[in-house]
Amino acid sequence: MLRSSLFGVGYVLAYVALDALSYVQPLLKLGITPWNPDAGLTLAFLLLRGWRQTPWAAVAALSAEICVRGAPAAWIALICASIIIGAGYGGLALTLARRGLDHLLASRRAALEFSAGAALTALAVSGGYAATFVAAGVLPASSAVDAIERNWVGDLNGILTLTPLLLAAPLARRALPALRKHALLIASQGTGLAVLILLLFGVRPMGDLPLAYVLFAPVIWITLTWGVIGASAATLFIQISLLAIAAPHLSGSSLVEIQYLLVTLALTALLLGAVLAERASALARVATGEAEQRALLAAAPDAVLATNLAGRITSANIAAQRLFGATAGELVGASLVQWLPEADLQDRLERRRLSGRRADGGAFSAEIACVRLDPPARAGYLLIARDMTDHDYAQTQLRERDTALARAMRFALAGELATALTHELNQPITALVSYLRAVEILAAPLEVQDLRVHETLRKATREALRASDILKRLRDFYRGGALNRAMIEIRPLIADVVSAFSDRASRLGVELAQDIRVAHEVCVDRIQLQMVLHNLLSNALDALAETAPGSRRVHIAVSMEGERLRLTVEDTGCGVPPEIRGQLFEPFVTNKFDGMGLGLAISRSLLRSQGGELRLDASRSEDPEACGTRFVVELPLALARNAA
Amino acid sequence: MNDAIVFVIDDDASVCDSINLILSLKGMRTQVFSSAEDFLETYRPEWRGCILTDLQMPGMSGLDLQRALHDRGILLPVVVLTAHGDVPTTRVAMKGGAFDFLEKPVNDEVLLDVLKSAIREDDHRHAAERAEDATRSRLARLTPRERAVLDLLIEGLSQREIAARLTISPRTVEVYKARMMEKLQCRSLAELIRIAL
Repeated sequence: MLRSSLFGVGYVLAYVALDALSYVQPLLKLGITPWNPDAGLTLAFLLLRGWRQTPWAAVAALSAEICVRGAPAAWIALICASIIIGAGYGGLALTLARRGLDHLLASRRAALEFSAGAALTALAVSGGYAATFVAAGVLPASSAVDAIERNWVGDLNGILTLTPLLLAAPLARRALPALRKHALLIASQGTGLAVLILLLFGVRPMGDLPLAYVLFAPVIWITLTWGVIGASAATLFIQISLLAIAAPHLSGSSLVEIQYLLVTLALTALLLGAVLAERASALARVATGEAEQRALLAAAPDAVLATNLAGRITSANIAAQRLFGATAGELVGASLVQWLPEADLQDRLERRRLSGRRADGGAFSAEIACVRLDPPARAGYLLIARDMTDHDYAQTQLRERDTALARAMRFALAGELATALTHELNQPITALVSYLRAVEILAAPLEVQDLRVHETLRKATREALRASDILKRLRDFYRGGALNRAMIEIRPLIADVVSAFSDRASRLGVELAQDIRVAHEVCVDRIQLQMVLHNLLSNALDALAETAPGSRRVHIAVSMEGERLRLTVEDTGCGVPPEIRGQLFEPFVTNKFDGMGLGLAISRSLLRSQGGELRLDASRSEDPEACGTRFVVELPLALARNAA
Repeated sequence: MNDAIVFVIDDDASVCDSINLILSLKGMRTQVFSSAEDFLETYRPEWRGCILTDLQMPGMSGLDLQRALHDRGILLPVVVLTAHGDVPTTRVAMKGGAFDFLEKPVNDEVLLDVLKSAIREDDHRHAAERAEDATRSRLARLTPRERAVLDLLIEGLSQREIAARLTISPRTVEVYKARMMEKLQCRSLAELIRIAL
């Protein structure tokens, strides 16, 4: 509050002082002078301190009337005139403040608004001021137009020269080092301007007004150097010098003419300053954008190279340096073909595979996208390259794993087939061998003792046994697959198998849910467990394909039950028909049209060879209401350790 | 061994028939069942011999049969004959108390050997059972007084101590002892105590 009042009092004192100093060639001893810097001060004060300080402006105007001019009219007229001045500039400040002080003169549009606002307000204030005194009888009505013109040009000039400078005052402390650095320039500019003014107005005979346009040159020079502030400072300097040197010798009307010139000068400089400010901020924006682009390129994970039309590299980002194992110096200026021998520069965005060459001579597989740059960009090509070595390796790994799974699957299938065949054929062979032996015994006591009978029967028996041996060898060959146990994580194993079915599942609209509660590694044969899961999922999807869409769901759950791993695969399908439930795990038992009936038999054999078990969840199959099927896999864990 | 029968259980009619034929030619008595359930239904406690069963059969499997026999206290030795010679099932069968495990097709000599030893085992068991029965019936013929003297003898008391304990004369104890040895058909005190235990 006190601070605010101090500012107000200071402002009033400054106002009165400025009014006194610029009280040159007044009209009828009224405050109608050709240059009114006090108007500029008022606007700056109201903009800086807020429009609510408007009463201070009226007080200042009234004080000036009393102190400088000794109350030239009735009190009521003086008060009215003061209120008009205060209200006019208060309203302007309120309007202009909406844009924000920092942007008041930062663009052409803002500068135009500022100037136009100042001109209109000054006109209104001048009109009101003149009308008040005409009404008070101090100003003859015939002089009113002249008074309004003089007052208007004076106020506008005061605002254009002083307000921008005063608005910048709070920044003065920060700007001081820069000013000191360029002291010589400022001094030379000031001296040049002073000399010019002396030559124009001091030495030459007065009244040679047209020559005053020469002043544009130094003012524009100064504006180009210092912007809006420089423009204001230069016009203020001219104004003060003019009043000091020329005012006593000039007639009132010439002085007003000079004021018009100065208004034009100030306006021109102000607009130029605004253009410069716009340009500076545009340049800053471009610089920011460029810095961001550079950072983006530097941080990009892919190599980005720019070349000219001839294929010489003009820039390379950090990823490119890493990709080719070369420094920026080695890359820039080199021919692209040196690094990407197969590259043909064409405007094609689709990715291509090329082989690249590193600085150390090593080759790698790269994926390239290329785009042609046309003006306004520097003509040439922009290439984005990515090292595909790791990607290819992962792909190969995946393919190999699939192949291994398929091979193991075929092997297990053949094994199960051989086992089933051995069992089925061994039954008749057993009967055959026994019959042959029986015949041999029966033939022994016969009257006709032909030794060839026994010989032949023994040979027949031997052949039957040989057939059985062949079958057993076949079976043992496929069963011989040694276990390949290792510590593995369950989650990725399941994800691998599930991903193989994801296409089919989404085609059928099947929701594949997982509930895996085994975080640590377990010791199992990866491929065998994958095969089992593969079989169960395949069966589940087959079953779901025959049910109504909408409720197709497969749920895979994995948990630990003591030392055993328990994996369940549950579907919402049609369930296992009761007539095959008993022999579900026998080979060649199936309810599928095109099934061999070996999947579950194989799966059970595999699990049993590891000491595990595969069974149909009995609690579900006995419940007639329950639909769907749940298979339970149990697998003992040789040793389990917590994952690091 | 005369009343011993080989009970052949196999779902394959040809296998049953041929095994039946060869065993009867080798002079063994057989009885054939097409399923384990069939066997359990017709089983009589006085049956002697051994069982020759297949492992994989529709319905009750060979392993299931073993379990059922065990549950019912049927002690006939079981010989398993299978076309599925895999290790895990063999292990389970042997753990379940199978007498032996043979793979199809089987050499008839080997089969005969195994069956004969299974029947011998069954005989031994019965002989032991019979001897035990005889002893038990003989012990039952002792009078209460004789039994009391025998119990004290087992405890290791001398004739004099027994006489004091039962307030009879040592001479009477001597008489009881001689009568007991005659009833139980044993020649020495050691034999007497072995039978009584």
